[in-house]
Amino acid sequence: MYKLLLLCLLLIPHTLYARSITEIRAAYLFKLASYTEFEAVKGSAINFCFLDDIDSGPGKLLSDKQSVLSQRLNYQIVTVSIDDFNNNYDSCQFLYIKKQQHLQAKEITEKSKQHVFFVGENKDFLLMGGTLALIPYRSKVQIHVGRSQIKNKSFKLSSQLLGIAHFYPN
Amino acid sequence: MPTHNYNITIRKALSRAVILITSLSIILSVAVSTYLDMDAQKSNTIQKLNTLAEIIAFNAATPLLFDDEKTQNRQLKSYKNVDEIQNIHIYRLDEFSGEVRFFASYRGFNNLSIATQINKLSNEPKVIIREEMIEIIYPIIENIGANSPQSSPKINGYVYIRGSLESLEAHFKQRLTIDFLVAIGILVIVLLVTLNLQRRFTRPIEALSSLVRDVSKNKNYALKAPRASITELDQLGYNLNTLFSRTLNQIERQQKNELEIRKLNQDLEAKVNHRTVALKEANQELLNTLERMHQYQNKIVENEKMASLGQMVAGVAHEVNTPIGLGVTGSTLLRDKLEELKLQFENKTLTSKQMEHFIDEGIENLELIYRNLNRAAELVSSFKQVAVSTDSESPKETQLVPLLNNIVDTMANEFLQGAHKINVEGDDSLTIATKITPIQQILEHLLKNSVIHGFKDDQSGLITIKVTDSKDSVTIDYIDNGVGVPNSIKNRIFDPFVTTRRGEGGSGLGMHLVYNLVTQALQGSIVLVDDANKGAHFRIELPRTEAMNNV
Repeated sequence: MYKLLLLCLLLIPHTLYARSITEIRAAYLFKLASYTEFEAVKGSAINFCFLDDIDSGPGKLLSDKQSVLSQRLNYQIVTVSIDDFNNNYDSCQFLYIKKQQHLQAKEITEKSKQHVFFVGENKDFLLMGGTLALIPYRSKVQIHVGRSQIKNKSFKLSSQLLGIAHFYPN
Repeated sequence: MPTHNYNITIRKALSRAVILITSLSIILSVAVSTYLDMDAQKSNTIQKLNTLAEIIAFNAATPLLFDDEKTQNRQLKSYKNVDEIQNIHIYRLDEFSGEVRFFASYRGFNNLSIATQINKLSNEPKVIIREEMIEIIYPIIENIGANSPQSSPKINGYVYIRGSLESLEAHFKQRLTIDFLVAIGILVIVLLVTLNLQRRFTRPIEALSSLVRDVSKNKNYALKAPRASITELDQLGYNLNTLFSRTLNQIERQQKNELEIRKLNQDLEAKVNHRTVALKEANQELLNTLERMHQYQNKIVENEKMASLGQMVAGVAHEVNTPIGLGVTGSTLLRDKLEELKLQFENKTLTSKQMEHFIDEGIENLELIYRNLNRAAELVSSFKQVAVSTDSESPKETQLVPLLNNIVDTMANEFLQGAHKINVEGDDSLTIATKITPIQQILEHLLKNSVIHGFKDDQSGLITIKVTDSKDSVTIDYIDNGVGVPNSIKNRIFDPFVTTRRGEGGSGLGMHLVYNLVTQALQGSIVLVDDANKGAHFRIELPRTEAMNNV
């Protein structure tokens, strides 16, 4: 009985403050900017690009919270399409690709330039040229980094971030 | 009050001093170095824990940001080899609610878990030291990228480290053990060195002491101090040898001098004996001479007496001879006139005129005879007065100044006739036990002498009589302003028959009589004061004690 009560007490705060995976992903995506150094955009806004729409997912959250979060990071929410990349669009620092869009990811990553940080939602994304995947694990989100992809990028990932990240493939 | 004489040997004093100084030095050195070392160790430990806290905070920023407890715990376990760390807590600061929550922890080997320390957390690095425990709180700063507009860092959590100072205590004990062993070792070495020094110092000193004792006991100054390896003691030995050598020389000189002195004493004794004999002889001769001088003196006194007697007899004869001679002459002349008258009567040639002439001459001769016989009688009477009788009157208490005034008044009326002035000065109440008649006779003779001998015929003289009192006597100063006493008779003014008016009526017995009255009748004294003043000055002192009453 005592153990049950203790468990309840431990779970209650967690439950009260539990956030959705989307929210966690949005937060992680936002924080990734602090651990990534882009040579070309020093001092100017970071562009968080989202494929096709921002009606749902982290893009919507970052857009909704921009007025608050812009105090901590100068950023822009940009909606792009595959065509934009075909037309050599190169204003994105981060491109978030949702799980449903992963099939298009390979096409984009192959065309993209070295300065775009591709963020996906599962390990397969990393096999398709993605840079980092935010994968749910229990109630949290784990960071997985594509070992080979980060070697050819023009931006730098912080060793602190790499210190907590999981490399894939191992 | 008892006194304590505390003696100590050089050996003990040296060893005690060295051990004491060494011990104090070691203790002080160990204490200071240990204190400094412990302080440095403590500072190092705090600095180390601070550095570790900063590192942990830096490393915890990312796991905290990405909610990665697993990585965080793995990182914290890497501090297992840091003995000073007992516990590490990582706390997260919720950016929305501002609430601090426990995030991760680490517990060192053999250390118990501790409760959350949320109440101690601080946005500034903080160090809390409590007895054997150190607590460090360090804020975890969120990593902000180059594109962040934020100027100040944002705190997203806290590191709490509890460290232990037990390692310091262990270090302290180890340090003390080592220091103690080192100190013991140093003391042993110092003791051995001190003992060696003692032997080096005390042996020469003992040798010198033994030498001095031997010399003082046996007076053998020929002994020499041995050489010593220590310079100061060697110098001391050299000085002692010099002292002994000089003392030996001094003793030899003293013995030589004593021999000379003894010889001189013998010579001196012989001379003294010789001189003593000579002095005895001279002394005997002096005694003989003194005896002869006594004899001569007695003879001189006798001669003086005889001369004085002869002089007095001559004086008496001279004084009496004149009136008696005149009397004899007058009576012889009267007898011749009577025989001539008898012859004329028998021859019937006597005339009335011759008878009348005889009667006139007879009367004249008889008056001459009478005057001279009367004069001789007066002289004899005055001679008789010289022998003063002391039995006729008893002393009485008398006021001296009024007495003198009465006498002066009587005398003035009798023969001074107001030609001279007489002042009697003194205290009227002064009383003395004395005889009145001698005083009256003395004053009478002095006044007569002043009038007859002192003052000229046309001179108006001044006579002053001063009476002063002293403790045992009364002094009468008799002073006139006449011609004074001639120098030729000053020394014998009180001798009989001394006069400057011989043949003019002076007998020379007045002052002699005054002298006898003062000295015999009144038991006093009289002197002629030879002062610079013009005139005669006699000072009479009359006793006022029992001497007068016994007269």
